[in-house]
Amino acid sequence: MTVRRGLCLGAAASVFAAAGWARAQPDDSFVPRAPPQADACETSPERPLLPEHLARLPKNYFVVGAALERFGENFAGKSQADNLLYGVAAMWRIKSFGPHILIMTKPSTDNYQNSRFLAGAGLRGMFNVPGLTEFSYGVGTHIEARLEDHYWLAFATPAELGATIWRRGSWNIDLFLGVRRAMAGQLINHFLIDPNGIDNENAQDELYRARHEDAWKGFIRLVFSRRID
Amino acid sequence: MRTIRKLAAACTALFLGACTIPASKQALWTSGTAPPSDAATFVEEEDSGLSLFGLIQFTEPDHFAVLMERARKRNRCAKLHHAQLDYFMDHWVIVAFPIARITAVCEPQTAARSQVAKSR
Repeated sequence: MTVRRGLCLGAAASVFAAAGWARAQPDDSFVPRAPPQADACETSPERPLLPEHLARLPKNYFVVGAALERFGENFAGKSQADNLLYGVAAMWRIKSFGPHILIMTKPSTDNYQNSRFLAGAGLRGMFNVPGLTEFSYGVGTHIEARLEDHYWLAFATPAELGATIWRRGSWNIDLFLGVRRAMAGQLINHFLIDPNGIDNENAQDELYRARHEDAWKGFIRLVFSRRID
Repeated sequence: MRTIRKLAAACTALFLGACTIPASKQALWTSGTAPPSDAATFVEEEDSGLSLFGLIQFTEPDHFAVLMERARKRNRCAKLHHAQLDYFMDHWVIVAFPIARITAVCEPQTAARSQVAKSR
């Protein structure tokens, strides 16, 4: 009985000893690529940190940023801030093409009835001029609610020319110039926007003028964006 | 009074909506790194993520090793070392961009070649 107990204890002790020895051995599964005295964060063509496919710059990526658009006829004089739209612009860059969306507003600090909202989408084609910059040509469409004027309008943009005017790191500043034409529009007859203005005559005249007499509009847009991949 | 109110609103919006908040700055080298050569230059590479109001994260910037490799290839460096990793948040009104940027010492390929020739 004592002999058997002794054998059991001996076996257990040898199992623990074996386990301890195994733990004490270095793990051979990880082999460092650089010798221990070299900088682990160094990279060179002979000893790159990553294989080629992991560090490649993707051809498809997003460009997202803040957009500033100038509208109206009053390009000089007082109330310049009233003729600016602010918003977010996003473009999905697929090689040389860029489908994009735009959401902008002219917020009114005094009352929301004077605000203006715009949402649009389009497609751009980009071409790089070596040594100069990247240019783009685009078409698009957008719809906007002009609460101040009591109507909404739908526009088509047949020509939008763009150029990257500044680029550094993931930063881009793009300038776009274009023309757009009013295609459709209607009065917004809602008591929250204008309680006394259902089918307002002035608004109707203004809408007629915007749709037929001043249907073509120019615009300048500045987009401060970052590349996201 | 109205002008002051508008000005105060604009300042607050600018302060809250268009600012850069640094998060971290760290060195990515060990004591074993050799000192840079006379022809060495500093190079930069960065990548951006995207978040909404700086709170809801959509994408993260790339890993520092990816930035190191891109910087080496873009600047045609024979070796890139003594990297510094900056991580900061760039707030632009609605959207915010978490940015990872590395600044490292680049040994140009021509300098490396001349050093090898000298040692021979």
